[in-house]
Amino acid sequence: MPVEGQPAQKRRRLPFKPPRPQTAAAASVVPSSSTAKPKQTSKTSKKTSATASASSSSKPARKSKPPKPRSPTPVSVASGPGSQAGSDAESDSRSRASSVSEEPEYILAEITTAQTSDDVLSSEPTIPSKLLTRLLHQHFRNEKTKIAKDANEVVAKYVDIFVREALARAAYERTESQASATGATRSGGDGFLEVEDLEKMAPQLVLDF
Amino acid sequence: MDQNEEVGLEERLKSALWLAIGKIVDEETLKLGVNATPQFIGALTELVWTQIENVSQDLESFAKHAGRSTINASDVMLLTRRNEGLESILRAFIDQQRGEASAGSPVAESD
Repeated sequence: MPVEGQPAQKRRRLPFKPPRPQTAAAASVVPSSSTAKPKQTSKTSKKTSATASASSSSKPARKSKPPKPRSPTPVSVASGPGSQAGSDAESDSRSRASSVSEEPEYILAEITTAQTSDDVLSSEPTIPSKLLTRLLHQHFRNEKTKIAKDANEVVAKYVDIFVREALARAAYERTESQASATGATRSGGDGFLEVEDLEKMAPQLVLDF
Repeated sequence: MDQNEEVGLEERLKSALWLAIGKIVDEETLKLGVNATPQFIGALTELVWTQIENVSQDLESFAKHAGRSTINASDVMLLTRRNEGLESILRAFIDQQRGEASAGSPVAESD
């Protein structure tokens, strides 16, 4: 029973994580940069009054810099747990380091999805049009039925997208089953797409097309 | 005799489809960083074959309903009526196609 719970969590995390940080990060970057700056200035100004004697040597250098170059997003992330009450510089460096290690994953995810969508939009269908015409005519019930040339190209594109979508979904099923396999005893298939993966997503795929 | 010929023809068509799909699979698996077993490609070919069978009969019905015996692009767009994302992709494809061959064959627009 607990074994079932773990994969379920992983399954949810996989699809949810990539899209959300994109929108959340993109949405939060803009407002936080505008809202975090006043907060910073007010907090730093408070601290200058409170701890002016403690860090008077470092403040002048900061005061000139902070408003523009100081990374606003990591500070806003770090401001949640209230770590700013402590040492400001330390929390900044920590949050920066952590955010730097996290962000590239999302950026990579964005790039890959953007690339595939671009390819889908731009690329010519790989299915030979003559073959497709032959296949369509094979299944027509009425022998007189014909298909226009441009319509045939659109069907070729349709089939092309169908195949690519099937592969993308099968690859997704594979990563999911591998994620669950690491928790369970099953050995991973080294990223080999199996018929099993196709079977899992075929019903929804056919419904979507 | 006829049945044997038909079966042989179907097998050959499936082989051709297999080859075409195999090319797409090679292309996509490189991008996705996975591999596909031959069984997977075979099963995918069967799936696509069945899908083409359904699609061709749908298209035939759409054209017949419009009083035509020739299927045109608007019939194909009807296939995507339940999938907005697919519709936008195919719509863009048709626009691109018409842009390229604007001097060529004009297509009757019904919508």
